[in-house]
Amino acid sequence: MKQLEKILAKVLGIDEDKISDDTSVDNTPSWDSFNALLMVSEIENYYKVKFTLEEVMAVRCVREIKEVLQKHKIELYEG
Amino acid sequence: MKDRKKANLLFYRDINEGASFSFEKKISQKDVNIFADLTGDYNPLHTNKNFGKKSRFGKNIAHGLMVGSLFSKLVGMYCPGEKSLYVAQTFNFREPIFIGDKVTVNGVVTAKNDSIKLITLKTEIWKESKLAINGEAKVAIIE
Repeated sequence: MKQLEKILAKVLGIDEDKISDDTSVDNTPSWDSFNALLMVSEIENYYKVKFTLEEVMAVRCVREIKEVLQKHKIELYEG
Repeated sequence: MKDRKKANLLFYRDINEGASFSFEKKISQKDVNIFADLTGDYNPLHTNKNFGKKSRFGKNIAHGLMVGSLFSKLVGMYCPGEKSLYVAQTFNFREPIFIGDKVTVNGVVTAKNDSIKLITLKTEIWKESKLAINGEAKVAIIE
């Protein structure tokens, strides 16, 4: 299951199939500062991971979110 | 302004997962009238006695969002209080609340996100033993 895409689609208010690695703060109007906070909260709570502030500040697209999760040894596409 | 008091001053480090906060309020006709005037929601289910009497509830009910707005007090005055920045709130309306009902507003901290100093609260409003409204609040702590 693409749980990450589900979380992002819910927070950003867009269809799950519209979420790609290239979905970013630059091409997604709903990726604003409040939704960025919600994304961090929902992802951290779901995957039981704690990001650093530097990681949070550096991420600007879905590909980078995945890279940070992989750095924290999170298996994204189980099952 | 009635029932005014100083907001709590909780810092992110002061708040632990599992911490709970609670207060009570009796819902009055005046509350319903003020909310109707404020929002312009004069739906007869809330404001017309005869309409309420003929409704499935047998009387007028309070606006769900009016009662749900008590979560604002929970966040702004109790947890975290002064340092709060309300980021999100969900609502599920489960039971009607009538004029004169006494409700208990509860919040429990269920998660903390250290990198952004944001907390998640399970928010509930109980009418005696019945869960009337529940949802989830996300609140950043501005330090």
